[in-house]
Amino acid sequence: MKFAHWQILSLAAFAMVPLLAGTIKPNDYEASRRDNQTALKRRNNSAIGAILGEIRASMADMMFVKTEIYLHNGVAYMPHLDMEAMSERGEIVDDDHGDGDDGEEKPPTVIPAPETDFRGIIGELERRVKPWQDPDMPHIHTSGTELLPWYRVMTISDPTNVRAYQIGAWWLKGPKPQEALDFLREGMANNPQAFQLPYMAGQIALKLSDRSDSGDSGEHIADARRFFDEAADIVIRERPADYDRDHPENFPSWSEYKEEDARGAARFAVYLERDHGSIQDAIKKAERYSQVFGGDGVLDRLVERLGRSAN
Amino acid sequence: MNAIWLIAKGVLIEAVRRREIYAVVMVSVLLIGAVLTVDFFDLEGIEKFYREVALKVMSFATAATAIVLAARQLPREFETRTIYPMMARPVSRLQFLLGKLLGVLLATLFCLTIFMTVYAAGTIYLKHDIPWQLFTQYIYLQLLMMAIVATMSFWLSMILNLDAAITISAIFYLAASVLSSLVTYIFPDLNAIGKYLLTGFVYIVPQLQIFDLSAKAVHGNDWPPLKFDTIGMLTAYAFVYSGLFIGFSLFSFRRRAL
Repeated sequence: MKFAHWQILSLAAFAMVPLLAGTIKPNDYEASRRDNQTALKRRNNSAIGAILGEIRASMADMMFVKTEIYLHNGVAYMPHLDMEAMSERGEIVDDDHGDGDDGEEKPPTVIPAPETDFRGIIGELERRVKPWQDPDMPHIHTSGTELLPWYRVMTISDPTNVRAYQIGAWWLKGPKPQEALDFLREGMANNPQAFQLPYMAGQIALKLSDRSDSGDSGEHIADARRFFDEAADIVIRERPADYDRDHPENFPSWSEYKEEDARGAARFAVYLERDHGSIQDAIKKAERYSQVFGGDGVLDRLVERLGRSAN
Repeated sequence: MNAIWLIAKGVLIEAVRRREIYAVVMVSVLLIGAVLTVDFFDLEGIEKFYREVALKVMSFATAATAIVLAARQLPREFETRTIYPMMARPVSRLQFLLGKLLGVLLATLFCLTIFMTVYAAGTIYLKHDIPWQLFTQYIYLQLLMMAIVATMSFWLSMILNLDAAITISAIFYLAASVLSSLVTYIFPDLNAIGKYLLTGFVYIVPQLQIFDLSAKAVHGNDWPPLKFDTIGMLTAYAFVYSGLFIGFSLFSFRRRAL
């Protein structure tokens, strides 16, 4: 039996599959939009992993665009939402959805408005067939619950997508707080360096303890303490040591939102230690965290007050 | 008319008997079924996601069926020589092509009907609403789109080999919406000649995205159905382009020695 060249080459390529497959570590890849550049360089050293990982991350990014369209009731605007604000606060920050007379530039629609569309009747038909509204009109925002399947699929596609976990948990915590916690736990397992996830989980656990009428409030408090402590520990590890709040532009990997949340995580860890642990430990924690941030007014005042009450 | 109907019936029966149409349907139904089984945090009121996935799967599967079926019609008639007894009958080449087109469209409708049945069953199971008017319009516009794609496949299969015809038709279908967005993005940055060329491109190449009602159908609770004049314009547009492609196919068909 004679083999053609292409058959031999195909067989050789097939034989290489196990070798190549061994080099792929799906969770080791982080896309270029990720924050920690050193970690990126360290992790993304496999060419195949990088190719597959970038495809995966691009899919997740495309789904982010899809969520914007869902949020605007099907109308496709040029991407303009502040995803970081959404992930940290759950706010839909598209400062252009006001009454249309605030003088600010509005984000254009993907299908252009009649006055800017060179396609004449084709453009007119597309505007009638696709969901479209005048970009100058106030934006309509739909319920975030409709977006949740996309965040689920996004995190399946790219488990290192921290923002997808954050925004998904934000929308989920209203109707399903326990599921939101589980979603965040999954995110924490996949992203042990992301302090935002335990920080958000701590807030949800705290809310659950407020609402809890079945006697498991203590359990939620304990969870919240664990989450805030974990978040604060990660902050200590991940925050740039020389971070300067007056010049955040010098720290692209550590945004102002992140800094604010990092301080929030540390403060909550101290508050819970004070209220449900020991005052001495709370003082120690507060001093340590304040040192990490190079001074923090709230923590410093807390140390002072706790010191007085301990004495 | 009788001849056209007989040819169309032949295409439809053949399509229904062949197994690949069911393979496409099966894979699509499995995909739609998989979406049904995924538990998204046990939440209710997330029908838009289900609609989106189902409609995308239905559109792609229908297009794949229409393209392959249409592109194969004429080359196979020549290959198996069944074209000769057909042409010996009092059937004109135009009637022959129209019969083939009608058959492909009926097979497409057959596919869409199966998909819609599965979709409707899933929707009822999930206790969601179906915006029927928009969905009926969606199916009608899909058929118009498929008429353009199928007639283009006829023509391509007459001037290229079968594989190339299928590939180009598939690429054309898949790239339609991307190309549409792309032309509007790049237009402002072009010089005068580029702008003329791009305008020509938009009017010469059929714009399939204007038949894609899926986005409105997905967000159907908030958008009204299309008005009759819009449906009329889209129908006229599809007739013009299908007519042109049928004309090109006829021209190539006539040049071919029998």
